[in-house]
Amino acid sequence: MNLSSYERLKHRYRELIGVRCEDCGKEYFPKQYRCRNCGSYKMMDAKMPDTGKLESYTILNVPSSEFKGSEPIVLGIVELENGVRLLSQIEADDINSLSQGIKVKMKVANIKDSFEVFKFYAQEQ
Amino acid sequence: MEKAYIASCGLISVGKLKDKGIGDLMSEASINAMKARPELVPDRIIVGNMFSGVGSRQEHLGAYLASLLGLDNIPAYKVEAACGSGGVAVHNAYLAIKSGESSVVLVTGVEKMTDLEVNDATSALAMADNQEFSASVGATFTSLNALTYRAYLNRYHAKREELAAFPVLAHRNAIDSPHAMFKKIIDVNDVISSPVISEPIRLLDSSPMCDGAASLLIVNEEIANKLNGKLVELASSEVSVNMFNLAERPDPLDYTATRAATKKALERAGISINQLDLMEIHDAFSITSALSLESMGISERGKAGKDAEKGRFERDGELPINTFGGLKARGHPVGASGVYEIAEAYLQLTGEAGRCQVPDARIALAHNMGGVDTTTAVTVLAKR
Repeated sequence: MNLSSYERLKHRYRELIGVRCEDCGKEYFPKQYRCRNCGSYKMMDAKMPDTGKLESYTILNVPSSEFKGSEPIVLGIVELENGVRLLSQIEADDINSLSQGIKVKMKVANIKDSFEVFKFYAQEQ
Repeated sequence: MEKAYIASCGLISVGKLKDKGIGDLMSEASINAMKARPELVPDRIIVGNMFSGVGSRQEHLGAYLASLLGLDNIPAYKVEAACGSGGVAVHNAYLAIKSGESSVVLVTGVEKMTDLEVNDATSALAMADNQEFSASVGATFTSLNALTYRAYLNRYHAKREELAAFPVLAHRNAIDSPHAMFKKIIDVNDVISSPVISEPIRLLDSSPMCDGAASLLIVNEEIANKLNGKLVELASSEVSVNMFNLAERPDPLDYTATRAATKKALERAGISINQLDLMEIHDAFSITSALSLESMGISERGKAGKDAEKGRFERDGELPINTFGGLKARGHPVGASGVYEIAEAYLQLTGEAGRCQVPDARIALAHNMGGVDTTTAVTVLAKR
C-alpha cells in the first residue's frame, strides 16, 4: 500500500465500507461488482457491522517487507454479524487466550506508517 | 480434434542458483528439452512465470526466451497465474495443439526467487492474493494457509504429527531425485519442532524459496507419429478458479477449484480416479497436501494425514504422490513448479524415472495451484 492507494481506499479501511446488492440485499466486503447471489450489477456502498466472531487465526512471525519489524502479527478470519467474512489483524490483551468463536469488535488503528485501517479486538468473554 | 503429446522434457536442478539469472534458467531448461528432440523446432513458445517483474525486474519473457534460443517471428508470450503459472502455461500449449494452430509448442516454467531477500520474496508471493485487502493488512501467503491449517485442526481434531507425514514423504522421495533441492531425510519430530513461520505452519511444513526452470516440448499427432518412443499423451488439461478472497469462501477448507478441475480432467480423459498410477500434487505446505487429496475425494475429510502415515502415498503404496520430492523437497520455484510436476509425470510414464520409478506407471495426474486453490490446473497424462 502506498499513499495514493491508501487515499483511494481509506473510507473502506476506516469505516468498513463494502457493498450491498440493491436487488437481493446480500452484502460483501471487500466490494464486488456483480452479485454472486442474484447476478445483479446494482451494488451500492454499504457500511458493514463492526462486531463479529473469530473464525480462525494465525500468529505470523515472518512478515512481508512492508510489515518487517511488526512481527508477531495476529491475523484472523472474522465473521461479521451480517454473515460477511473478512481478513483482519487481530488484537488481544493475551494472544494465548484467542480461540475460535470468541467475540471481536472493530476499531480503527494505525497499522503501518500513518495508514489507519480496521482491526478487530478480542472482547471480554 | 487434434491430440497433444509430450515429446520431451528438460529440467534443471532446483536450488539457490546464484550464478544463473532468469534468462539462463529458462534457456537451459528449454535447450535440455530441445536437444532431446533435435528434429523439432517450436512454432510457439509459452513461458509460465509468476513474478519475474519483481524478482528480476524483467518482464516480456516470451520474446526474451525466443530471442535467446534464436527463434524469431513466432508467437511467444508469458502466462501468469501465481504459483499455478506452470500448469496454466501447459494448459495454453494444450489448447494451441488441440485447436490445430500449433504443431510444436515449447513450454517453459521459470522462477528466479533468490535474488530477493526473504521478506521481499514473501511480499512477492503475497501478490497472489488481494493487495488492497489482504497484503495491505499484513497477510502473507503462508499466513493464509495457516488460517486453513488451524481451522482444519479444530474441525477434524487432526494432529500436526499426521500432516507432517507429507513433508517426511517428500524428503524421502527426493533422496533419489537427480534434480531435487533437498537430499536430506527428515522425521515427524523435525517437522513439528522446526521454527514457526505462521503458527501452526512451521518451516518444514513449507516448500522452500528457490530458483528453477522446467520445459516440455508438446506436439500434435502428426508429428508424434514420426517420432521414436518416449511419448506421453496430454489426455486432458483443465483449469478452474475458486473465490479470490479466502475469508469470503463458504468453506475455506473446500478446494472447489481442485475438485472441479480434477472431475473435469478425469471425465475428459475417460478414466476414473482409481485408475491413476501416481499423482504429482501441489504440496506447497503440509496442509495443502491434505486439503487437495480430500477435495479430490482421494482421502476422507480430516483423514489425509492418517492415510499418509499409513503409507498409502509412498512410491510403493496404493497411490504414489510427489515421486521426485514434490514442491516441498524437489523445491518450489513457483512459476515453474507446475511444469516440473508434468515433466516428472512424463519421466514416470516413459520409464525414465530412474530410482524414483513407480513400476508399470501408465496414467498420471498433475495438480498445480496458484494461491490457496485460487487457480488450479489439473493435467492427466497417459502413456502412448
